Amino acid sequence: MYPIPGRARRRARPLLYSDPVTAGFGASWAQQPQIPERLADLARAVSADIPELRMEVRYTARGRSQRRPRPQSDEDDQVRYWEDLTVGETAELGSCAITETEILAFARKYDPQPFHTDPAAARRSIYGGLIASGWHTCALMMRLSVDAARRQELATTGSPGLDSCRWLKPVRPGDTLTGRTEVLETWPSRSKPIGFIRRRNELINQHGEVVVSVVGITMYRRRPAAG
Amino acid sequence: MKYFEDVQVGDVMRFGRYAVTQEEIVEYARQFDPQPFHLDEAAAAASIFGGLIASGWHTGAMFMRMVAEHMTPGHATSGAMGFDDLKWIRPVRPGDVLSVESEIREKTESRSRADRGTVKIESRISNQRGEVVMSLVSLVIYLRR
Repeated sequence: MYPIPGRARRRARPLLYSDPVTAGFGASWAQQPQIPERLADLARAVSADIPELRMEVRYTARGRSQRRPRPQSDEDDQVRYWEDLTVGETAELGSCAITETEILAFARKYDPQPFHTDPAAARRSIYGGLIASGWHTCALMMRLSVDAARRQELATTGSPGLDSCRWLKPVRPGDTLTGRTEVLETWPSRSKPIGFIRRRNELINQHGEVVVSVVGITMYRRRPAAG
Repeated sequence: MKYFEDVQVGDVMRFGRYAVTQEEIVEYARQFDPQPFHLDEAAAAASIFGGLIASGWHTGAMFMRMVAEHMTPGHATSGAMGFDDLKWIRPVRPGDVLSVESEIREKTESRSRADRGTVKIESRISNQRGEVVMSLVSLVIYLRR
């Protein structure tokens, strides 16, 4: 059934960016009152707190990779690697609310179209009222995914991109959005110590309607060999 | 104003100039994508990226800003259904200046609503060196005349 060989080969091109639908870190960095300034402090913070940065794959400026073997630690036992994810498994990503103030602030900065920035104009639009920018909805999905991936200690190493994104229902002020994710497909890299996961992420509103559905590819580290 | 009937497959539009700042990268990341290489210069320098980079979703938002500023005002668009085949190709860094090149790929009349149609638009977002940093195919809703 999986993987689809031709497709997997095409998707497994050089990967340059790390910004997945489900990424590796959580909100604790943002919530820290002070981010460590000295590199030494930082390195300690990273090694203690963020398994993600002990990466085995280094992407150079041209996107080629090289092995970077790292010593294993007991913490690695908690990490969920590519091998630990199976097709069909689902997870909850948590919930968030969205306010009119947030919708307006995001739209004025990034998506200044009348149905996102002007409640009166929005009522006259095909949407019949103010709606959030789709890019705002996706940003909220990213935040839920980052926080969830950190909770689950997923060994993600970024994303090369997305197959599709559909804004299925308008997101309106006062909506509460709940995220869920499902593993659709999994295949190993043939050249690097990583594997690929194709997953669908969705946000569902308080009425049970899926408002956005994204299918994308995330890279995961492989489980280090025993011993 | 360009309606569904007025855009033609093969039309190319070039627009936008978005100067990326460190402050904005960090501000976006704090809110939506709190990973160290988006948040902190020192952490980013120690990461595989060797320096601060923008969230990929932030790059998408900056693309949307250029579209909303330069493209949609002259077109009878009414939002979008989504997009396909988004690729994050290169990192976006502080000091980069982004611009957009968009090409009309396909037009489909709505089967259920006579007042609109969907237009597939392929966009490439490039930096000041002409390197494509992101690409995607948007499914834009156009109103009909």
